[in-house]
Amino acid sequence: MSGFSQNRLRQLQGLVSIDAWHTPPTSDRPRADLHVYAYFDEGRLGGCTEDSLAFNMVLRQAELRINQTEPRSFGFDPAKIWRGEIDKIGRAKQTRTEQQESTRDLEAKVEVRPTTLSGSAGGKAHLAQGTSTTSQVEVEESLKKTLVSFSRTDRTMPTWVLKPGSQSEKRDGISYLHGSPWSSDQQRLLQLVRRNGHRGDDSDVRISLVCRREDLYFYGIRVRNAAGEFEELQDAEPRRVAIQEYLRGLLLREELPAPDMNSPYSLVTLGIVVSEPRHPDDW
Amino acid sequence: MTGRAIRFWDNEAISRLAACKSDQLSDLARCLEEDPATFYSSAEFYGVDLRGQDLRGIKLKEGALDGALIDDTTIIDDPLGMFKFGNFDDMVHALNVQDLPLFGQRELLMQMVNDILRGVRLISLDGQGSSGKSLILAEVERILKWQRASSFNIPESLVEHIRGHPSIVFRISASSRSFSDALLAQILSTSHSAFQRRVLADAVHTPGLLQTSAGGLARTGKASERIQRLRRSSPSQRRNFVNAVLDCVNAARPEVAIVFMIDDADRSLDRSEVFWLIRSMPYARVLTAGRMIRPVDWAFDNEEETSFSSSKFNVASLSWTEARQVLEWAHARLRGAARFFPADGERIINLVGASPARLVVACRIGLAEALGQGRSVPLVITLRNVLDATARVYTGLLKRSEGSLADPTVSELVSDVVALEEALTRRDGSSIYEIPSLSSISGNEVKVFLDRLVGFGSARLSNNGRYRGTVAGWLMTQSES
Repeated sequence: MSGFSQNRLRQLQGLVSIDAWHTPPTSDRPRADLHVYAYFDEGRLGGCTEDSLAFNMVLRQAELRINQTEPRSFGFDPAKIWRGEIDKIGRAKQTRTEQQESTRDLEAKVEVRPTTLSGSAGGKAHLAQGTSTTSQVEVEESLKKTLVSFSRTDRTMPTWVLKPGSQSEKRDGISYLHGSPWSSDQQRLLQLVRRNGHRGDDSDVRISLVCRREDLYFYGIRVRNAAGEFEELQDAEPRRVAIQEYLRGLLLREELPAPDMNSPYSLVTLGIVVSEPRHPDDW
Repeated sequence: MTGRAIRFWDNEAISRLAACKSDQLSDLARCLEEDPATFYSSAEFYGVDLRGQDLRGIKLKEGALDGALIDDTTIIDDPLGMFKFGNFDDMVHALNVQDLPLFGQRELLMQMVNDILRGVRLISLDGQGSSGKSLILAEVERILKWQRASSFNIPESLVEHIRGHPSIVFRISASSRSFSDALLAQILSTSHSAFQRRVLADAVHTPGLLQTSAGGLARTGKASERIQRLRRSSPSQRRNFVNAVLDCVNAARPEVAIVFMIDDADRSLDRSEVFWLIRSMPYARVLTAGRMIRPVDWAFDNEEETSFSSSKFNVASLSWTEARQVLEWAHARLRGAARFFPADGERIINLVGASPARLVVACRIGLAEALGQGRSVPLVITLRNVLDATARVYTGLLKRSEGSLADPTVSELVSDVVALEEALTRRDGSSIYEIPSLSSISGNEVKVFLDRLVGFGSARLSNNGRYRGTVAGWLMTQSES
């Protein structure tokens, strides 16, 4: 595939890999299935001979977005968008045990006289019931490493939000993205619909992977000391925080014209690829 | 991964950092050629050792210091500025905590601040502690989603006292007047339904409102018109304005406590107006000179004969019945929004620096409340804390004056307080929360305590109320006799 803005991906050295392709639309079939491969791993950066820094990094969360250059060649069929899977299924199970005691005492007295009829009835009823109810809720949770949800806030940019699932990898108590969130071959993310009148380039569908500044997590930060050896900074060292903020800031600044450096929600573009037309036979 | 890695960091900068002799965060930022003021604005310091760090001037996000290792050597932007606000200042001054051997200064202040914030929900920002002011404003901005919300950092230890309070009140000095104006503008312009859910700050800075707030309120249209008109208004017109505000507030819901700030410097409101304000607002507290006043407290500050509406009474000789009436009135007025004595930090404020006469009256009211609501657990606690506060204040007064703990009068007083408190606690055998009824308290126990109070100062009890068949009634009789 032809890459676009792959420098960033190379910079991040294995933190994330993405590819994208779609079935080429034809005049008979203007629809194209879009597939995206994404793979997350721990990035191991620096540590070379000339480096004074070595560190690892992972992503706490990321977003995969689809956008097109204008004029857009494709529209999206909302009925053909994969919106992730419901990750939890709850089942309520109720156990009910009853203890019931009842006593009923009834007294009735009826007097019948030859000439008049009068009646009196007395009743006493005592009902004691003891009921205990135990409710259990069983939740079936799909064991997933990555949870995928879909959002499309502005109707133009379909976005899949990727979060660590219950079975995700963890480091320092922090869950991070690892592995592929879906099977790229089997899972069509959406169906592109060629717009009428557009017969030009099919390669204007771009898939970008972004995260927020706060989603970048660094660990195992090692700095080359005076003796030329890498020395790992302890978690408690303020120096570690300084380097982490430095790295975050750099990633945020690069390629962004006016990043909001102070916001934890500033977007960091991790990489952009262009979807290429591929026939299924080629897969 | 393909191709040779591209380095996005500067090795030289990292080397400079590694060679930096200082561990100060500000110095580390400079080594990286970054601005220390903003460099850490998104950083989290969980688990980081910040002892010995000087964080002044470093902007941190909310909660940034959660889990960080902090002690007295960590210098944060003047968190103790919290203690210098208006009434806190008075309190500290009155207590002269340096002379209080019974409590550590910091612990005592923190305890009081805790109590105050928990109960009074009042923060006076007038004229003191600019950095502390920033802290509070920042929290409000955060909650109200003010645009400047990210401008300040608030140490978590302080935030927890403020967060979630249904009402936070601001008394804001002239330099921040625009903020209070904007706040008020928001109150006036917010729909009731939105307002209903989470109103946190209701600041009606009365003199500012009438005199200098037109600009801030200009955004609100109708409100602005009202203000413009009221700038040259008569008292009755001002009342109309306040009514308009109240319409807005009262239409919201009971959990909102609106607080009107009345600046003592503003003499345009006479006392009858002040009292009218008190009576007009179902959820009102009224402030004057940085101190919260309620009918009783206000009277404390004006111990001469004072006109409250049509009734007249002198608080110095407030009877049990009158005290009860005031309390009942206040309870009714403050339905659910706040208890009349929500917590006793408030009581502590009012007692600090008070004359013995005020102390006596305060105790009487505290007792009246407790006795009148004998089965109400919170009020039992109120009583207990009133006693506790009294003991503290006496101790403070003692240390500041010629007296000493060796003084038999004072030591007896304190021991009596303790004894009474113990007596209250003993009644249920385990916990004060389970006292079945205060009427089971021996009248003697209460009397001894009150006698000591009376004996301590020049104050006299003069009870005119009529309690029958209760300890309070018995007490009243005993005291008068």
